[in-house]
Amino acid sequence: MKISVRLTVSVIVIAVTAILLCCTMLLMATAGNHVNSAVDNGIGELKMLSNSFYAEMNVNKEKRQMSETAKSSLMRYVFRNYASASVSGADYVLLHGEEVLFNDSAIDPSSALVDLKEQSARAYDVDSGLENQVRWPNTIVSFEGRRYLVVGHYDSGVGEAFDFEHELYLVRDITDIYRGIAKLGVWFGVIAFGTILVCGFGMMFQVRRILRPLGDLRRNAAALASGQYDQRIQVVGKDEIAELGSNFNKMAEGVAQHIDALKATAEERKLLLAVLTHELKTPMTAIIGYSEALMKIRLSQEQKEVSIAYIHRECKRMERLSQKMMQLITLHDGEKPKMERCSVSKLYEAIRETIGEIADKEKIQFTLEEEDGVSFDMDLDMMASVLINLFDNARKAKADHIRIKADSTGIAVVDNGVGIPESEVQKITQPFYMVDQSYSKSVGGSGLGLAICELILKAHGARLSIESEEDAGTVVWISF
Amino acid sequence: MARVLVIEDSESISSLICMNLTVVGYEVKPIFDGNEALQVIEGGACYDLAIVDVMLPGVDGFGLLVPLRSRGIPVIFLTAKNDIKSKIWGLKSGAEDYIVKPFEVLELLVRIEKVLERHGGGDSAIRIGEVEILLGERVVKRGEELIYLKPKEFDFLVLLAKNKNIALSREKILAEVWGMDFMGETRTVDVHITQLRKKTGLSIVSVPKVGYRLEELE
Repeated sequence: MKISVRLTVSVIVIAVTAILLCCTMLLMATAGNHVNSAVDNGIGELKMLSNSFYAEMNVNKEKRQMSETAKSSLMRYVFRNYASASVSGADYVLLHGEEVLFNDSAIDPSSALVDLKEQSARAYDVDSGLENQVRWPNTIVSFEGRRYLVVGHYDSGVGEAFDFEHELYLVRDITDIYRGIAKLGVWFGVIAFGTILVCGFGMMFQVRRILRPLGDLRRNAAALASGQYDQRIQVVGKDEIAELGSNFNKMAEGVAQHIDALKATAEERKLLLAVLTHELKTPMTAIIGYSEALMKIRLSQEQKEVSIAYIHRECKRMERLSQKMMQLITLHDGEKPKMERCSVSKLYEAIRETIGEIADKEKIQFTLEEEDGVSFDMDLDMMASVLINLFDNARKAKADHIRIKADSTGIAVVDNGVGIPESEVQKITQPFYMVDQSYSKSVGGSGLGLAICELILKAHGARLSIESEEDAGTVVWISF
Repeated sequence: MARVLVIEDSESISSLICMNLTVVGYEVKPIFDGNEALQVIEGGACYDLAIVDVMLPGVDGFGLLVPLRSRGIPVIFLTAKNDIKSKIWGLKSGAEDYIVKPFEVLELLVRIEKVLERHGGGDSAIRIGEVEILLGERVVKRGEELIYLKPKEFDFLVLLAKNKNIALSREKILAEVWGMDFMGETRTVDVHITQLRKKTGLSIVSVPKVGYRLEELE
C-alpha cells in the first residue's frame, strides 16, 4: 500500500474513533443531566404535594374511626383537589392496594408501576442509605411508545390523621427529553461525518503535497542508477523531505564527481598506456630485428656480438622504462609519502654515493651546499630519488658543474648545461616528453623522470619550478 | 646493387636495417637526423630508394618527402605511428610504402624489392659466386654453361637468391613460390632443395628450426 493511502486511512480511522468517543460521552453526560434534573424536580414536586396533602389530611384526626370505604373516599376527594391544582404539568396516581383511588396520567398503574414497587422494596432491604431510593423510588417506564418518569411514595399512614396503606405516584411525560437527546445524537453524527470528510480530504491533499518530492526523488534515483549523473532535485522548503532531497543532491554530486574523477584517471591511464606502447615500439623493433637476424642470417662473429649488445641494451632500456612507469602509476594512485622531519644533511648523505658514482664516471664536479640546520618534512627515499633524478638530468644536459643547495625555503639544483628552450619548459614534465629525443635516449633517458619528480613533490605539498637559459644552464627549484 | 638511404634516428634500428640490407647485397648509407638528410639529398648523391623514419630530429620524415621525390628517389616510411591518419597521409603524399614498427626483416626486404621493381631499379640479373641468374630471360648460367631448371625450381632459386644469406622458412617458401593456396606439404620444398643443390652446386644450407638459406661464399 502506498504511504499516502496508508497515512490517510490511519488518520481517518483515528479521527473517527476519537470523534465518536467524544460525541458518545458528551451525549451520555447530557442525557444523564437532563434525566437527573427531571428526577430531582419530580421528587421535589412529589414531596411538596405529599406534604401539603398530609397537612390537609391532619385536620381530620378525629375521623380515625371511619370505615375503610369512607377513608378511601376522603382520600380520593382531597387528593383530587391537590392533584388537579398542580400547575407543573405532572400527573398523579393514588393507589390503595389494588384499588386505583386517583389517576390522571396516561399510564396503566397496574402494569407499569409494579417494577418500581419491587425496586423500592429491594432498596429498603439492603438499606443502601440512599434516602431518595428508599423513600422516593423513581424509574422511567415506557408505555405505549412514550417515556414517563415515575416517582413513587409508599406510606402506611396518612400523615398523623389515620392509618391507611397507600401509594402516591408522580408521572411525568419525559419523551421530549429523549427526543432532544436523539436529535443531539443526530447532530453529533452529522458533525462527525463532516469532520471525517474534511479531515479525509484535507489529509489526502496534505499527504500528497508532502510526499510529492518523494516522486522526484524516486525518478532521480532511477536516473542516477541508470547512469545519468547530471540530474538534480529542486529542493523546496525546509522539512525532512527537503533535507533528504538536498542530501540526495549532495550524494548525486559526489557520485558525479567520483565518476568524473574515475573517467579522468582512466583517460589519463589510456593516454599514458598509448604513449608507453609507442615508446616500447623502438626497443621492440630492435630486439625482434636483431634476434631474427641472429636466427636467420649468416652473420660474422663481430656482427653477432654487435647484435647481442644491441638486444641487451634495448632490453635494459625496456626494463628501466617499465620500472619508471610502475613508479609513475603508483604515484598517480596516490601512494602516500612517509613524512618525517629530516635535515638536509641527512638527505645529502643519502644521495652522496649515487651521484658521486655518476659524477666520477662523467667527470662532473659537484657541490652539496646547505644553510645550517635546515630541515623539511619529507619522505627521505622519495626525496632522494627526486634529487638523483634532477642530478641525472643535469648530467644529461652536458653540465660539468652541478650544485645542489638548500636554504629555508627549499632545495635547488643548479647546472651549467645546455639549458632548455623557453618554449619547451612548460612541457618537460609531461610523461615521455623529451626536448631532444634521440640524444636523450642515447644517454639513457626514458622521458619519465621529471613527471615522477613532479608527482612526488605534489604528494609532499611542494612545488617544482624551472628557470633555464639556453647554453647557460638550468636551475630547478623545489620549494616546500 | 641498389643504393639505399636509411634515414633513422635510433641508432639500434638504423644499424639493424643496414645490417640486413648489406647482407642481401644492397649498398646503404645511414643518416641520423633530418637536417643532415636534407644536406645529403640536396648534395645530389644518387640513390635508388630511401627508408625514412617519420619522427626525426630536425626536419621530420614528412618534410623530407618532397626533396626526395623531386630527385626521383622513392620513399618507404618507417614509423611507430600506427594510426590510420598518418598512414593515409604518408601514402597520399607520395610515399611508396608505409611500414609500421615493429616490422619483420623479411617484410621490409620484400617491400624494398617491390618498390625497386616498380621504379626500374630492380636488377635484371643476380650473381652468386659463379652462378648468374638472368631474371628477364629466366635463364641460369654457371660461367658459360646453361643450367636447365624447371619453372618452379627457377622461381625457388630466384627467391633464395634475392634473400641470399637470409634463412627462409618452408612455409614462407611454399607461399612465395607455389602461392598461398597451395595445399602441398613442406616435403615438396625439401625435394626441390635437393634438386637445386645438385643442379647449381650452390651452398643451400638448412638452418635448424628455421628453414633454408642460400649462402654466398666469399
